[in-house]
Amino acid sequence: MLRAKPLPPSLRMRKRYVAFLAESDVRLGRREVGSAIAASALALFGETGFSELSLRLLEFSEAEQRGFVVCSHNGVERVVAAMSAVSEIGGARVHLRPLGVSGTVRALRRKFLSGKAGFISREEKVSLEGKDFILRGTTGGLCYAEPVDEVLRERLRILKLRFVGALCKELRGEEDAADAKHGL
Amino acid sequence: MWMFTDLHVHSLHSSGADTPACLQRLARSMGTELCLCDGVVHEGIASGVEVHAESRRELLGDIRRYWRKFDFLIVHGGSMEINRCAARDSRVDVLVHPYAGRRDCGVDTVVAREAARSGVAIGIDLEDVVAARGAERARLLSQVGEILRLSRKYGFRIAVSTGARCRYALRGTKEVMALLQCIGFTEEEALAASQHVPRELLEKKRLARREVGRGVRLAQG
Repeated sequence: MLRAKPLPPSLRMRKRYVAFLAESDVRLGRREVGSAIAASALALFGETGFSELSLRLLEFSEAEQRGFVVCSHNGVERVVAAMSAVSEIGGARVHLRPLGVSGTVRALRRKFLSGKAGFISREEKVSLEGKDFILRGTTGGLCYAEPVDEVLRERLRILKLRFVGALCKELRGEEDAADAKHGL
Repeated sequence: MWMFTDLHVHSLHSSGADTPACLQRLARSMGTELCLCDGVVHEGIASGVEVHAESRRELLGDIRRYWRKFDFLIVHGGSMEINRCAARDSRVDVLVHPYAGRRDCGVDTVVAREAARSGVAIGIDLEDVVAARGAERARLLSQVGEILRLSRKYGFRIAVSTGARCRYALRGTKEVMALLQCIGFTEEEALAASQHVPRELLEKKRLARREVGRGVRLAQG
């Protein structure tokens, strides 16, 4: 089969890779993250503007909820804007936080995607400022807890969230509830 | 190095979903300086209040009650009566989303002149723009563009904040700069609106709170 001859390096598109972290109360899939970024860029810049970006999701790890997109070197600012304009995916509140930009995948992995990330599931009764919560998970020193209180649950529902965010040391387990000194 | 100073964030203490410490940790990791406007004084975080008033009389009462207590005072705009009254009062730091519930941008020539004279900043919440879709977002962007045009003509300041009620609505310095430049701000205007103006407002209030009489200020230390 006849294959297209590769362009000389001087005529190839100058690429940039943008690493990002998907923060949400639900686990997101590669397909829905990719289409959310594309839809946001399309809505912000229109079809001609979107075509200039040459934007494509290259990799997304569902376990770590982070990945990277490729775009043209002069479209990085617009890609960052498009990612930060994504507010929800599938009815759940999200934030696609840009981690950094690099010219090669290897450097991107080394600089921004090398450490461990991910949500560690837990289930435990805790209290926060005198109210009862059920701890659902932790990540990077932060805890995510589901409120028992109906008023707070309603507030979260309006905000399209499932959990309240707190520092782990702010939450106290059942056995510590009477003693304010100890964190989890 | 400059960092985005976010003047309009709500925590669990008002209408938000996260504790102040959690929000502060996340904001730091994004390179943002966090200020909370819960109407509660937080230790170690610049604390402000957002005033929602139905009438001019109610607004003036609230301003009188709160302006010395907090590091900054934000007025929730919308009706032209509130927008004009807030823009005229130099005790107000930011008149936030003057376009709320309106078809126009909520800033006419009177509001623009008064805001420029009294030093009140007109606030734009990125959450409004980010959460909106389609025609609604287009309308909001045209309202923001109109405010920007009037700011260039009359010289009033613009302060950009996220208006975040949850951790996922916080934005980093680079994200805010990128978003603002996408919606028509020049680089200098984006820097001023996201970084210089909020800091100037906090500094102005810090000095004003040390005033014991007209033109008399307590010396430091």
